[in-house]
Order: sequence, then structure tokens, then C-alpha cells
Amino acid sequence: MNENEFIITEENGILILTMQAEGNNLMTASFFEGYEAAMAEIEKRTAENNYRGMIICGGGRHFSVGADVDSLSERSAKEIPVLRETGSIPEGHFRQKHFFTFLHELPFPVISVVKGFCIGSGSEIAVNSHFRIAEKNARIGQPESTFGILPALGGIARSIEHTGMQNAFDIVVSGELFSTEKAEEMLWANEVVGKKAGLDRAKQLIEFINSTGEKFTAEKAADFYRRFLESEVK
Amino acid sequence: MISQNNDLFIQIKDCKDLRELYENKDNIGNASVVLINADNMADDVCSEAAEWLSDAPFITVFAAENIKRFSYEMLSLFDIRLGGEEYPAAKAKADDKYRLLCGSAAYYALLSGTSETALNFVTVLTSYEGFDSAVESYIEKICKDKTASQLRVLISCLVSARKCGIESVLSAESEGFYELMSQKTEDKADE
Repeated sequence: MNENEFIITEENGILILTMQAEGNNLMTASFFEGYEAAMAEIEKRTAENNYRGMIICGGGRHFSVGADVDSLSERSAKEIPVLRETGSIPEGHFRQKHFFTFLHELPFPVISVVKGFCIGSGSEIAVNSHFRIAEKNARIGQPESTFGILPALGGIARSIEHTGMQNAFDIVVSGELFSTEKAEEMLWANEVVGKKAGLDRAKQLIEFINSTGEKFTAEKAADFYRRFLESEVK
Repeated sequence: MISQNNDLFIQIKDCKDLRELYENKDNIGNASVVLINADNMADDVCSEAAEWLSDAPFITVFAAENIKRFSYEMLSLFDIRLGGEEYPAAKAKADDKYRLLCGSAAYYALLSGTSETALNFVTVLTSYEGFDSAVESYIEKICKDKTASQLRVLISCLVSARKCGIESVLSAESEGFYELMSQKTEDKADE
């Protein structure tokens, strides 16, 4: 793991996580090691400080190209015999899953700025965030089912939460990638913006939410976004 | 009522109402996806059928070209709705069911009256070859390349949201993942 692969910065009370691991954030064992360490650090900081928001983005051309199938096969080759022997899901899975799903529980807005490919477990980071701002021409999807498996890091639960059963059925079961236009139509993306415009837009959204003075919850995230758009029309 | 089966889903045609569907429920067998071509169906909710559908272990797909003629109460009994047109917001209700079926942004849009159509409530299908053909293509596109056992696991995660709420899906997807991983490992060993 290279320590420059996950950069955490702070700007006016906003945490910014920039992921720039090898292979366009290909989710190898090394990626997960770095990702989990970065998220553990974020979890620690959020317990000790009050933040106004958090933004997750890709440092290169892509958000993340998703899981490395070879890494996944190697991991399962180790895990499955243990699973068969004990009948229990490996503890490592829950630890890994926690570092995806805890984003949803944070008491401030978490926004993924999606560009390029945002696939598989990369897409699961995005759907565990409260908001998704997609830059034009991104390609998004949960293709796990096309490899005979399924998204297990919150991908199904949060796809239902954001897009409803109506679209989650398509996203998760077909496994087909979709465009930013389709992402916006299904309400997977809160908004589609031009290239390189996602970060500034995310900061504007965080400013608006904090300006309301209201307590932020995941339950109300979509309502905050609706009011953010309304505030711009007025 | 005509039922057509394949390994992955069952298609029901010419069902006159929900009661007839309910009375034939034993013919559904172990299908993961139940597609109801409802163009000739009455818009009439039957409480026994409603209860059965809310607890069903499969995904229900309601397809009707003229979907606007059905009430929200009828349509919201089904997990997926396919139509030839959008559904007006004025006929829908911003309730918990709508939030589950359509997602949180669609729910707040309906609640605040900011959209004329019920967002995410109906997937609109169009095809030069007609609505029925578009419905079949949609289902085939979603189910293609899936084995019956894989589809069963995927569907059980979605069904869990309907039966036990979205948070229950988090554990269902973990269990499903390891079930499928285990199957893959077995298949590899058999090769």
C-alpha cells in the first residue's frame, strides 16, 4: 500500500478524501487495505471533531473501476473453506462492509463526486454516501451479477433506498452499466454536472445544508437536496 | 388465465382480476420473477391477494400499456410496474410504500408536489414491435445469463426490503454474497 493513494484533506470544516490508487482505483487487496485505513482515520477524526461535510472523489480520471476479480477469487478461496467449517460469514467481511456503510450513518452530508468509471464496489462507496454528483460521461453500475455474485457492501440496500425497488431490480439484477443521463433519470445521481465541476458543486451543497441550521440525517438527505435546488430558483 | 413458465420467470396473461391471480397462486411454483400482463385486468383490489403479494417470496412485475387506468392502491401491490406511459403524480400517494418502490428523492418530489409525474413509479417501455414485445425484451435483458439459483439469491435480497425494510437488506446481501461465492467455488471444483 502506498500512503499517497488515499489523501485526506480538510477545507473549511469539510473532509475531502481523494482516492488515487493504482489502476484507476482498481479494488485489489492493497486498495482495500488503504481504503480501510483511510476510513478508520476518518471515523476517528469525526468522533473527535465536528465537520460540516465530507466529499469523496477520484484523483485521476475515474472514481473507481471496481473489484479486481483475481483478488476476489483469491480471497474467496481462503474464506469459503472457513465459512463451510464454521457456518459463519468471515469477520473480515463485516469489517470491510462497516467502512462502506458507516458513511451513511455520519451526522453530516457525505457526497461522492463521480467521474469516469464508477463500478462495482466503487459504486457502493457512492451509494453509501448521502449524495452523488456525477460528472458528464461517467459510466456507472453494479455488474457483480454478471460475474455470478452480487454487491454485498451496501450496494443493494442503498440502490433501493435511492432509486426504489423499481430501478434497483434493473441495476442489481441486470448488472448493466448505465450513463449519467440514466443515473439522473433513475435519481441515482442527484445531479449531473460538467467535467471537473463536481467538487465545487458538492461544496455548494454542503454550504446550503449547513446554512439551514437543521440537524442533518440520512433519512432527510433527499429533502435537503430538493430544497437546495429550490433555493437556487428563488 | 394462461401461465407460461421458463426456468427464470413465469408469465401470466389474460388474468381477469386479482382474485383470479390469488386463486391460481399455487401454479406459480418456485419462480423468482412473476410477470403479469395486465392489460385486460380489472382495477379491483382484493384483500387476500394484497396480503399474499406483500409476503410473496418472488418479485412481481405488473405490465400494462395503459397503466394510468389503474389506481395507486392496485399498482403499489406490485414490486415493479411497466407501462406505455408515465403515471400522474396526482394519482399517487407519498406513503412509505411509495418511498420503497420509487426511492427517497422520488418520495420527496411527490410530497412537495414538484413533479407532475410519479417519478420512478413506472418504467416506460416503447418499441416499434409493440408493448408486449418491449416487456419481454425488458425481462430478458434483466434475467439474461443468470442461473435460476443465482436469480433466486438476488431476488431474495430485494424481497427482503419489501418484507422487512431496507436495513434488513444489508444482512441479506452479505448472506447472499457468500452463498453465491460458495456456489462458484463448487462449480470451479467440478470443472
